Amino acid sequence: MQLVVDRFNETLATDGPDGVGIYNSGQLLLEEYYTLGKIARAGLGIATIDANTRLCTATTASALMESFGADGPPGAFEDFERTECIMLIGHNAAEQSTVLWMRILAAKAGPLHPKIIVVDPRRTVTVSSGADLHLQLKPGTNVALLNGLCHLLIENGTIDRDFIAKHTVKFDQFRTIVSQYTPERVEAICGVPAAQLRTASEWIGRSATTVTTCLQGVYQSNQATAAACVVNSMHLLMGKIGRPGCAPMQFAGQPSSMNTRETGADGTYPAYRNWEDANHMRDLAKRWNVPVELLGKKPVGAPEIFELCEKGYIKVLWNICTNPAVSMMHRTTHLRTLNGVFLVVQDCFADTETAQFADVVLPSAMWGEKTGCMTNAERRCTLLAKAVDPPGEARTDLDIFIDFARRMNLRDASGEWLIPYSDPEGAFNEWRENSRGCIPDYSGMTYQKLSGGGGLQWPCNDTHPEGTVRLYTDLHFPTEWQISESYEQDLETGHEHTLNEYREKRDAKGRAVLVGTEYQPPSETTDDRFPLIAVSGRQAYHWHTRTKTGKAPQLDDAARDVFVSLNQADADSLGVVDGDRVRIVSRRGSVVAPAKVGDIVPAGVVFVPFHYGDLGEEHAANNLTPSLWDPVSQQPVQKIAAVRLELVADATTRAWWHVEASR
Amino acid sequence: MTVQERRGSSLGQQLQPLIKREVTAIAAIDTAIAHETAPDYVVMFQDAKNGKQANIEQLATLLRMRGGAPDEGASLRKALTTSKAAVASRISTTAVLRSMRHAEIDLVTLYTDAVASAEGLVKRALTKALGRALVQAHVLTAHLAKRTASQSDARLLPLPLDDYFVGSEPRACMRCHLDRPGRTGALERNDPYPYTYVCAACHDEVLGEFSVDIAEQMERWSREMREAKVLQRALGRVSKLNAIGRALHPLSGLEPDLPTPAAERAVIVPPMTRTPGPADGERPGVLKVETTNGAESAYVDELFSVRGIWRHW
Repeated sequence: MQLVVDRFNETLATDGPDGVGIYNSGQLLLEEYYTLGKIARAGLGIATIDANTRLCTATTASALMESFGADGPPGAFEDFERTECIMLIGHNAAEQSTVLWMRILAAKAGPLHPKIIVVDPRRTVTVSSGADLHLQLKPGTNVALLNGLCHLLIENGTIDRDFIAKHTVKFDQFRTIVSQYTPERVEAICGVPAAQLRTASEWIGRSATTVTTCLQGVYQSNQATAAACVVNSMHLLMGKIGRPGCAPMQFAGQPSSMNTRETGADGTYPAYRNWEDANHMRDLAKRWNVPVELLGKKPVGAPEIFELCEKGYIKVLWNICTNPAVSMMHRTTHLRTLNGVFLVVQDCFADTETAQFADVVLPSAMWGEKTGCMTNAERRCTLLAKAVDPPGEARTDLDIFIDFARRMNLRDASGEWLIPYSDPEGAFNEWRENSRGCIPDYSGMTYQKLSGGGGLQWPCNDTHPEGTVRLYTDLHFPTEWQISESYEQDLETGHEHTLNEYREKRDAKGRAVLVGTEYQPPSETTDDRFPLIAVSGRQAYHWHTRTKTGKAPQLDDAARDVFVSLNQADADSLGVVDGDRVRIVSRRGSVVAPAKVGDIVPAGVVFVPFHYGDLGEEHAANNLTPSLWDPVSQQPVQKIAAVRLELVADATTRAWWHVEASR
Repeated sequence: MTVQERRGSSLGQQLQPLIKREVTAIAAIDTAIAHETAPDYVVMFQDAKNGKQANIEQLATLLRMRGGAPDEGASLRKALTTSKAAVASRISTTAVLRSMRHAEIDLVTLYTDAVASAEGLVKRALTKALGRALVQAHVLTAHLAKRTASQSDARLLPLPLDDYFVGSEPRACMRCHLDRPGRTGALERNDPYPYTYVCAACHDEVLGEFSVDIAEQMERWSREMREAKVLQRALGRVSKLNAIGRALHPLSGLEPDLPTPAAERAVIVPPMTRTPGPADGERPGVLKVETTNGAESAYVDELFSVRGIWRHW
């Protein structure tokens, strides 16, 4: 630890805050995120802190800010049981959200019999096990499809004009944009038959209630924030928000990614404070007892943090509970980068691919070995109690952060320790006071109350002591400049209005914004050399980069190695049969994998699971992905890589599923 | 008092006035930001603040390393300067720039003296901070020369004023904060977008920053898409640091200052080993999940019968 502190000190002294970076996780605990964020902003004075939630849930936050003024999922999971229509966009729930999917299937068998629409380029198990309608669109065309749906909702008159007039702004601009997206044009762009689009719009529009979910098929794709915003706009058109069974459920992909967004361990400031708002920063400085002049830095997202490492600006990188050597886009570049920085890896596993580049490994406790809170995608905070001691020299992440802060001699304006507490409950109590009066208000929660069972949904305060099931029931949205978390960003460049611009021209004054945007084709393009589009994604049996699930016998058995799915027509034209080893080549790198031939993916598209990443074996899907990210959310575009397939000369080895099948 | 504390105390006497001055300057900039109506100047002020925060953090780290505690708090000077900034910002942007330059020149003098008497790590830290102050002083001087047509200000610059500003009006590129000439032309976006401006030189430089795989596809993008991508990149942290080191340093009479890429610092390619899987004999287990209806049962059966789910990949 002293070596880590010495390197941080030396680099901060000679290079300043741009010389160090922190890349953390969506799998720590609330108390740990809050402490880490406070150390970074009030202690080290850095803006280069982000989490792997940038790869998973950043677009959720950005889209909610653009549409409603601030982050915060409006709905609740119980809305799935109280709705007549569920649309899952880029969300393979049957493999990614298995418990939720069972809940949806149970709801489907219940009294409301909700129609289920799945939007996905692949015919996934979600489609086959529960969908009533599958809109199999081309990768990267979400915005065109969603614009088409909104156009039909308006044309069919299945919108709530009274709601629109009273509670939204920009309807005329929105209508002008989407009116260009006729079903026929959408079919030409997306490949979805016009009749299917009409059916979907009828089901959505005629249902009294609708829930829509988005996940990585939106967030890691082309025009991520724009597409997620149009989903929000679709709900606003119909007035389907703030009441039971009605919600745009912008999802979180990791167990505690909500907490990174709330507490400021990613790019944002704690409790949804706006970094550009001097009053927000003054309030935060007062609560932290630090000079306000040191706060209010524009956040730097993970893709830029890694590029700062690559270019040599960042010299010390603290990597906490995440495995970017497998998960980061354009991986081949980042492997060289990780080898050239002073890399601190804090993880409960010492054998991750990233840890193999580490200069220092700090062994940490994992779930069950520490106490703290996690908040899920319906804003429900749950207290997890420690069950066993961590093994060996492993310490809780919170202990490590506090030790670091003390050794760094980080103090507040009164000369007291910047991190004054020494246990999770102390951290939680400071956080709940920090959030008091803010949008994610935890002030009414205590460890004692949270010990009672199923957790509490924020805002939980004196007015709502038992929490709040859903947001915006009063149809008032936090878009006023005084409370808004951002000042509306340009969906194409990410540039944000200044306070004065927003106040004078954009302030929606408590109404939601009908964000509309034109479809733009993906930046990564196919051509003669790279004629196919590769999409990456998860499988039911593995979590992220297999640091845990790769060690579970049943899970490893179920999905032990990489493969590439391709359509029979593409296989025929390439002379590939099921099980042949092929090389998938992009402009950046390649993957060698057995071919899984069938009709799960459409012609022109291949699928590679992203879990596998051992060096030297060309198994990582992120060898293929480009250094492109969404302008607003900065979420990497990991769903679109132009590739070609080459048959590997020695293709006689049987594919693993053939071996398994013959057991 | 320990030896370390004595050292900290001595260094504190040297650095604390610098910290106070920088904090005071930030307070004044915050006041200016609140009043400034031109978005390009707001961005310029925000980036100026960012540089000052970096200086403070370097100085504070030096003190903390020696057991000291930096005093970054309020002072009479801060209150006075903030008041002056409020007055200046109500008069004009030019008055604000003049006030900022005055403060910056004071800092340059103080940093220069401090560098002269420092050594080792402290000298390296102070030299970096001095570089930021010099760049800031030259940017402000260039703006003043352009806005007031002051020949005396223009003569303070190491290069002709035309190298700093190409147009007839003073504007602040949101990447380099000047308005430098270039081949491809400046980029500008107006309402309904947030006002955005990147000068011609930055446009050229940013085009050269895209990786090869992306650059080779640019010709297929529409002009609007290409320009949006350039703006996106230009306003990011990496590109702004590139602008400082590659462009603003020479325009401030300094050598270019770009770090060594990480790949060039890499010394060992680590041998990667496969993440260990389960040992033979550990597989398989049996899990049971309760279901309530046929669809759930079919789904669970498929999920847990492994070979069923393979059909969907």
